[in-house]
Amino acid sequence: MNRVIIVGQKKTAKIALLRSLFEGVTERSDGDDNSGLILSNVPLSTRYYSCNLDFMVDEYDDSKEWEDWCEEILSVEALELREAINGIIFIFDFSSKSILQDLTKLSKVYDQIEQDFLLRNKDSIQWEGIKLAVGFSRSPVAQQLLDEVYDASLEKGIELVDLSIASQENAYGEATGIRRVKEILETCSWPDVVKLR
Amino acid sequence: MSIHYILALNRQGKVRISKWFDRKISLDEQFQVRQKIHRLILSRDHKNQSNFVEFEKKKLVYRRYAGLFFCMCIDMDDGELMYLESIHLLVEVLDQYFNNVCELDLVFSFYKVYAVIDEMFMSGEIEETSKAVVLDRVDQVMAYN
Repeated sequence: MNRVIIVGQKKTAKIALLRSLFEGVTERSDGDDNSGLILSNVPLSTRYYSCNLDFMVDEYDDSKEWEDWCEEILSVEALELREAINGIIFIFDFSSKSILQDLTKLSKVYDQIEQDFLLRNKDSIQWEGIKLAVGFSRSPVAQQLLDEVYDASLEKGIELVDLSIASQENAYGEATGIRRVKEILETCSWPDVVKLR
Repeated sequence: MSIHYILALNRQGKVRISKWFDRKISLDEQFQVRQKIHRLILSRDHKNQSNFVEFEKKKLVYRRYAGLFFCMCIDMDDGELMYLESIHLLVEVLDQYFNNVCELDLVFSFYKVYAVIDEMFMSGEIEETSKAVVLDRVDQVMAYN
């Protein structure tokens, strides 16, 4: 099974993101209460493989609830869940006042997942799961804030994709925005794939 | 030794190519090196800073291609421009071999990528610089599989 948790504060375009990545994902919108929603068997195919993904959507109200969410997933009881998932996509609004603290808590979750993985798989050099933070904004974002968030995520080994910019390509000709999110999903080493000849 | 190791990292810091010529570097040190290089290279200003940076008493030569950072670690007294060009040659050969190479090819056809690297680099030295020769030899090797 290929499982990804997609988590963010309420009304942070999680369903909109999935809809723009995959056709016909769901009829639900970000206005509904999507906590606990599971989107199963979302097809993904590349020239090397095809597979189905399960997206587990989760939401929180405020920073305190996010802290509780992280504590819960870091707990011993959640070890099985950490072993089962292949990535966490964190979606946030750039206007949130606690982005940097939220990213710090998120990085602790990723670190624990990687540590658990390397303990179980001593021959591996890294956890192949998705460490992705997707930021969006309903108004223009200050460059200083962008730089701060980018530096913070870089330091923690989290890739930041900025959906607030319209362009799908950066100054180096690399994919950005939704295209980059799709690339990250495609280059992940999913455990359950059908390899194509 | 000229080239101590060749790495290719993506923007998440995931290693896509990892070729170690220096056997004195232990597995734990390799792990540390990957993390340090990821932080060092991604934090650089790629437009205003050079492709060379001092790293742990050696030099890192790196170049960015489509979200992937190809790095070589060389000695301080080695000529960095030559190795910068050898990185470009490696990418050109991969591009021709895979017909427009992308990260997906490095992940899922990694054995072909390492076959190309093994034809071009040996024991930390540049062995072959002719694209045609490398591609021909790799085709022969793959024909045996």
